[in-house]
Amino acid sequence: MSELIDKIKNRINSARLIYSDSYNPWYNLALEEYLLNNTKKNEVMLYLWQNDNTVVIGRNQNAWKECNCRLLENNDGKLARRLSGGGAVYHDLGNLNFTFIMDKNLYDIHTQLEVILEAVKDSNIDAEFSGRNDLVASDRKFSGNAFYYGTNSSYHHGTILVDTNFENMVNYLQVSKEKIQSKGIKSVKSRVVNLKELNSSVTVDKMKKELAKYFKEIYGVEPKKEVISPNEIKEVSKLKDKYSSWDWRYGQAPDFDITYEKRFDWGDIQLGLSLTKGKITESKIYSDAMNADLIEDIAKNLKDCQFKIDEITNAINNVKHSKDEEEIIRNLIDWLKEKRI
Amino acid sequence: MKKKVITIIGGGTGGYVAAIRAAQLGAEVNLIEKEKVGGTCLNWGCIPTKALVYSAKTYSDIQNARRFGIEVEDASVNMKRVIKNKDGIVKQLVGGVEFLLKKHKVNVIQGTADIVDKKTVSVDTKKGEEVLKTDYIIIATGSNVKKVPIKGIDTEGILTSKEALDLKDLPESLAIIGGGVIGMEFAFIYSAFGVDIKVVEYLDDILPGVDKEITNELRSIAKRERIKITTGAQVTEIKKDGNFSVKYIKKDEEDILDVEKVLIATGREPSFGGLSLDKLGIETEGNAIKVDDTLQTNLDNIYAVGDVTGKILLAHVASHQGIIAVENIMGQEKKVDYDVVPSAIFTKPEIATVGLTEEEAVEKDIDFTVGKFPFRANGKIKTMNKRKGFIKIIIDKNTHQILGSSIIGVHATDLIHELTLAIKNELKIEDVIETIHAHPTTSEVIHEAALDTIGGALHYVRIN
Repeated sequence: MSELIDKIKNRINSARLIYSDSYNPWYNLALEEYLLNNTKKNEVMLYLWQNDNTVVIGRNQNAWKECNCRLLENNDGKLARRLSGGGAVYHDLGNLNFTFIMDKNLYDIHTQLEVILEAVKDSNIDAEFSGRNDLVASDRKFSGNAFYYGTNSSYHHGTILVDTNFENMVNYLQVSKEKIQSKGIKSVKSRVVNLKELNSSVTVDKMKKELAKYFKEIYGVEPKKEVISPNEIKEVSKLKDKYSSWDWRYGQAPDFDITYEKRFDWGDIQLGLSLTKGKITESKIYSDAMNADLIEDIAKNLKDCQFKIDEITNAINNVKHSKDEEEIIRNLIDWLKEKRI
Repeated sequence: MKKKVITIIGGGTGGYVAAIRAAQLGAEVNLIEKEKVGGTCLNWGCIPTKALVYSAKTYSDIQNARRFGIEVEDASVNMKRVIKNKDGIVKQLVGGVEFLLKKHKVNVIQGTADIVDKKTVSVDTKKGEEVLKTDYIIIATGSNVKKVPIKGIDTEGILTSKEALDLKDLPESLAIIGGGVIGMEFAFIYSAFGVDIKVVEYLDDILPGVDKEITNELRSIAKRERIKITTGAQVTEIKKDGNFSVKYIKKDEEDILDVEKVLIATGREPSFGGLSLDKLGIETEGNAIKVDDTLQTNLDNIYAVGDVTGKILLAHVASHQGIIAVENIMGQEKKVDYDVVPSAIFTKPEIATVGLTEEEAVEKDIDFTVGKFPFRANGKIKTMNKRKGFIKIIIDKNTHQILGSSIIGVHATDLIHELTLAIKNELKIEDVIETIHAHPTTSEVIHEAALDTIGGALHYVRIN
């Protein structure tokens, strides 16, 4: 048990246990940020939430690289970017998210982890904290944790895999095969396990109850319980607009360069793009095709486009071209449409 | 009131000093460092080179001990112990900085930082990524070794100053490419250890920016030490074939040096430490981050200090900038002033300068006069048998204000500060003259040179 816990217990003057009734990641992340911004002095909260069919990437990640967003969106899934760092994770209703939000004064990672570990151990699962911000049972990860340190309040949040569909997880979290050069954070693959596999009686509802029990016990408080509908709070709706926006989810990627290569009947092509905030700032095409002017015009037109497939295909379509060059234009568009753009 | 959160990227002499100052003024401070606090200066620069300088000095003192009536036999250099002594000193100092940061409750994070947006910093640590919200950011990412485009410069086994600090086996011969401060310090260190040194400098003189008379004196001393210096020479190729061969062109003639090792000492250049400056729109100027005289970048809550600003790449300038940046953040209005920055060069003997050189005074068309005094005429220096060197003081002929000083000789780097204080406070030469200097001390050379500017030194007569 952490040595700090007695000090923390003495300082607490408000404790809240909050459930969201939404399964929408943009609303849920908006509520999380709202709670962070409105933390009172010496207040601690445990916020429990779930997202359906969602990939959440870290604050400094590149969505195109870390997630098969095309496939996800085709399957009505949602891509979200959180405030905290770290790698990409997949959420569905077999996964439970927790967030400890508190006045900086009350922050102690060991106390927070204790709540999770005790809750899991109650189901006779031998859980422990790995070196790398993960919780593991029999050497497999069931919970990834990430942290955000605000100027007044901080949060520690994480996933708890209870009964998640791993097939979807593997499909959506496939790293792009394109040549991408970028700064920012790469996701780290881990061997994962659902808690249900370790003890068939574990359910998401049971985990919620256990977490509530140990939150109360370890912090020595009787928290105020609330079920919040995030769409009913005005500020949360406003924050939701940020979380659902293209600019935040895609545009916040660190600067990167991406190269596509392909051999067509009419020649080889290599398309190199430099992107800043999701916008093409530099575009270069190398080709051994005979139509040098056309290729150069395409490169010129791509500059300043948002990295969105519609804008890119429009830009290529808008290049002046002769009848016999139509094949090149069509080939290029069809080819890029297969990409994760 | 809510504490201001300041996040500093880089824990070198700019960053860590800024961190301590910020904590003293009541800020909450995050300091991000990817290697070791203390940065280049403490770990791979000023301090470790001085440890080697003092090992070299001790060795040459022992060799000259007989003159003082001390008989020593069989003195020899044990490089492994020399390096170990240096490592111990570095370790103590880094530990000291860590202790100070801890005492000031600075949150030190080990990892590589990136600025995600104006108020958010991400740190890639061993355990994962951490994201910090901050009110202010100070970029203090320092500099890297500048590698000039010479054919074969990436050949394995070529040394930079970093590796030259860990040479556990002395080579027989060493070519040093670059006759600036770093190159000349290493030249004298390894020469004292018995290595045959050849310095190749592209410009027409060594130590750019230093008074000509001083560099001439150093070059004649180097000659006696058998350090071979070639200036105005462009290195065109380095090749390894057992030994290294260094090809250079001087006055259209090609020549080749055959040496066991090569050290690249062509200077340093600002390093952005991998930060996404473009995404944020932080303006750069040449290869440095552009800052104003409060060290603010074009973004109002982001500051930059130290070598990354490309002003004067010196540790003491970096810490001064760090303090000024923090004081501005904390609401005080301060500006940096780069006019009166002393510089210290640890050759043998040492060199120190501040303010104008004689060449600069001529260039600026100032009506000036120079006072000089040779070290050999000082009593204490005579007892030390370190007679080489002299001091120059430049004053305005009409107002007698002190404008600059250059010193070459024993303890020069410690002597310079009396004149730095005088110049910074716009003192006249009479202020120095009328100050009693203790006898017998090396500082008397300052007093004598001051007298020489207006009437003549007491203990020296110029023979024209």
